[in-house]
Amino acid sequence: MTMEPNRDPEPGASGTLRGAVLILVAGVALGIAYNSLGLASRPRHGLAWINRPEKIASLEALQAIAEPGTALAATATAASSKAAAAPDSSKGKADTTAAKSAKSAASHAAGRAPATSAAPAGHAAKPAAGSKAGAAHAAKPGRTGTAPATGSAKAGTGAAAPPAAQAPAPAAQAPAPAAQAASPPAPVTPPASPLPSIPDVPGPIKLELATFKRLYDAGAALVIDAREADDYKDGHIGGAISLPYNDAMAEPERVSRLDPGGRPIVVYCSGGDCELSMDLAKLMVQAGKRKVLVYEGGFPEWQSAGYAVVRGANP
Amino acid sequence: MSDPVNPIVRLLRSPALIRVCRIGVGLVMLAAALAKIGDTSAFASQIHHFRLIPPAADNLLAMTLPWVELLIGLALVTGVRARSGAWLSAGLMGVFTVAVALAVARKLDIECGCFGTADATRVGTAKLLENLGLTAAAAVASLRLR
Repeated sequence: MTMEPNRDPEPGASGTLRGAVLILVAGVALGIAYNSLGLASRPRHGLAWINRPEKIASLEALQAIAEPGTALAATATAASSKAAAAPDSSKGKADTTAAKSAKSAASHAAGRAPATSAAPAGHAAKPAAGSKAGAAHAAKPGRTGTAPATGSAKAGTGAAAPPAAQAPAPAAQAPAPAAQAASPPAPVTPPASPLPSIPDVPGPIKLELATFKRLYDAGAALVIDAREADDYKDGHIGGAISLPYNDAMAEPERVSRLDPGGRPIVVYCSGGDCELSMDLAKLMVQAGKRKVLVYEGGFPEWQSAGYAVVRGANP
Repeated sequence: MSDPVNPIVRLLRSPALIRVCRIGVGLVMLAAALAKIGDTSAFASQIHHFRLIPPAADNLLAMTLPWVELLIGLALVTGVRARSGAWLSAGLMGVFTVAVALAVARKLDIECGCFGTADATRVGTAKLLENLGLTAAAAVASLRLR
């Protein structure tokens, strides 16, 4: 090769291939060596050899640990709203799910306050039959305390979800007048907190539509749209502020300028494969924001649930 | 060894064009490599967003690919093993183009990551055309100098 450099300046196919393999192997070796150096240095930098997907905590799961009752109720809400949103063909199955969740929520309530235990079951059974508006009520055992007798009566007569009506408490099977007679003296159970308390953990937390809706309705969250400005203009969750992830990357001060006023921040994007919301949430956490929540269902889920959608540019 | 009659083929095979393509693609490779080596963890998450390889392999690819690009760039710019570098760059550009095309087809709204965090453009038709152009240039650069 070096004997006659000018006659054939470039190697043929096999020589080129050998060179390519050499470059490839050398590059991989350099990369691994550089990363090893990084991992061995102080402060440590470089990547873990095997990427373990990080586990993002979910608000509903965190609440299950902190306050089992609330979490069960939240599960029931999620199931109920799914049931409400499900198309007719799959409604039967969704109803069962909702009924099961409602049942577990109700049994839990039964443990704490047997006198009113039939009420949650009654309320839960009602939305499972397809009433979307009623779905939210199933999640809030506290509200059921307001009318336990009505709840029992409905549970006793409602054929929509018999397992929920029968299983949690014998009171549900009793004739309605008996339940009514029994219920008035029963003390109203102190309502579980109507809004989920957001734990102050480092890193973003995921939350479901039902939980988000409760925060949203109470105006208890700063809602951020992480999608491109054009998508925001075409329609966004009412009251949301546009902060596209790209802009946040380019101008970090836009993140630090955000003032949630002590409220949690909820970030969303287009649902599905969209990771802008999670990326933006991580950026916010890096910038020192706390209680950053990610609503992964995103705009499509919100819109299909029929909740408030607004068009137009950033206010 | 007879010269091709077709003027386009003759132009594509001209040593000047091949050299220009090699240096051009080489500089792009160097720029891409240096930007990625500077922030491998960001590059790893960009790779992850494409959802094309098992997540466990994201980091391995993120730590090695920039160095392969660096060596390819050096080979192309310095002319040492330039044709090998050109072959590899053509192969890589082909893979990148397919990755971007798949992301566009799946309507993924993600960063390209082509130049690490230095370039925040999202994948889309413009990026696809840019990659196709670079793939063509790398293909020309892969021709043998005579």
